[in-house]
Amino acid sequence: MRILQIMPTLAYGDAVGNDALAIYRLLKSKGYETKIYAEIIDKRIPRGIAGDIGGLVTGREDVLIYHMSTGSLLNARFAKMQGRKMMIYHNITPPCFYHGYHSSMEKLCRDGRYALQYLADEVDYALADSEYNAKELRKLHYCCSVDVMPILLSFEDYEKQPDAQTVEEFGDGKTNIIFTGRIAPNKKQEDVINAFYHYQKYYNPDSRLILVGSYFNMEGYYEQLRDYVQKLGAKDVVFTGHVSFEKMLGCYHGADLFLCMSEHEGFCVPLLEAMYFDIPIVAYQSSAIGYTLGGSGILLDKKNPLETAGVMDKVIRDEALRNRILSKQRKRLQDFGKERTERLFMEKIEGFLKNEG
Amino acid sequence: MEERIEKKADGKEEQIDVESIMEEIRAEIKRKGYKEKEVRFSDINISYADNMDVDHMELSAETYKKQLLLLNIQKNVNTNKTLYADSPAGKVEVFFKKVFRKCARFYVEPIVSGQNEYNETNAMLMCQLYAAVKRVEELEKKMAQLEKRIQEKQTAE
Repeated sequence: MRILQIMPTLAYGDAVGNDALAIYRLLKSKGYETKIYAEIIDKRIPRGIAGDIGGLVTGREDVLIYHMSTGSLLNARFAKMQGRKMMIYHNITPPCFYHGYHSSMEKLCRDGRYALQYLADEVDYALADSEYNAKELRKLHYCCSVDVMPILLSFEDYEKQPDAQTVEEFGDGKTNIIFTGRIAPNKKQEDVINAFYHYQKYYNPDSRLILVGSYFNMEGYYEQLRDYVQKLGAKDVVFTGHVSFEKMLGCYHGADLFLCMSEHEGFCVPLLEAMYFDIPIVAYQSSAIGYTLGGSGILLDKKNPLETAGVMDKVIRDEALRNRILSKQRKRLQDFGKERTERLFMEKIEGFLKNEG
Repeated sequence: MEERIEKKADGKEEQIDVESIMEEIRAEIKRKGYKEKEVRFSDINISYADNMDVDHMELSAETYKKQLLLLNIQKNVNTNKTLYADSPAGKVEVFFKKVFRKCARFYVEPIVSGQNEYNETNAMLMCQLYAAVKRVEELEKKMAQLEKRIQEKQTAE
């Protein structure tokens, strides 16, 4: 019996890719025969972990774990593969967010959501990164059991040395507001910019906004954001683009507040990163944000840039409030600790193997 | 600043009272007269097209179809055009053009990609419009036939 993970693309450094690698290492450590198969494999993935799905032949005894996160022909092919089928649902961005920005991505997301419906009676067990994701599967009447299983995250990586130049650049005494995530329309960086502009204008002119994330393939949206910054008149807004892991750590090291206005997230790993670096979080309540925060951070139920700016200022200046937020965040972070999530994952997969066996 | 930590009698901490914080902030915004800047994100990148003189255009499905087929051929902008030499130092010139093209690719390709997206959207809209143009022509023909019949009947009476 092999436990094989299957996905369209095994990227290096993104949440889905990291989850797959963490699962691989965990299963390997428990003595299972395991490998990852994908159509596209990032060259930085260490050898031996992943293989081209082109040559894969599966048998009835194999357990196939499919990472569902986008549109792909592989979605339909997976349904036809021999073996016991599990899905890990990371969520697929609703296509409407890409409308007007990227027709190919819009189509990809639409196709992905059709495939998600198609797979409703093709999988034997489903894990979802969040309660939000699980609800989507249940709404689609998935025949199998659907359980919540957070992304496996290794916080050891975050103990690496941050890039010294970045730490120095952002350690100049200014108040640093940060948001980490791809420049993408569903993440609503424009609302982060808008709130920041009003915070800078009315509360703290000596502040900086750092938007950490690649804008590759989203150049239109990126240019629109840059124009927006200019038209608003916000100062010191930094778009880092794609940065190394060490530079990303450097950005977190200097941050005073994490501001998230995203309208669609399947889990939102950057929230955990902010918790890890003890950065208070202010976030708009949407999709899986509330689940990941789990009662920590400050959740806003509407987007009003003036009010958001006021909350930002309160959190930064009110030490008692900030400490209270950080205390709850530290407690919530423990729920995603490596030992706990690995134990949970093994319980779920071994439970599945027992039932199916 | 007023303490926001509320503790129950048994010592356990309650949730942070976000609503109460928001009320305080709203009151402060009102008191200090803070105003939201009226710059909408959706208004960014609106370009103003030149006015087209459409007064002398006649509706024709046949003409529309010809233009549509032409549009379909023209819609994709290609960044990989064949490079030619204009000078006697042919191969060397092409080599340097290729190098320059490769260096400029990072800037040019996103722009072209954006243009192709726009063109594709336009082409699809034009196809939809063609269906409407055909329908209008059919209705015009039908209307002409009906008017003729009405006239014939009125003449007969």
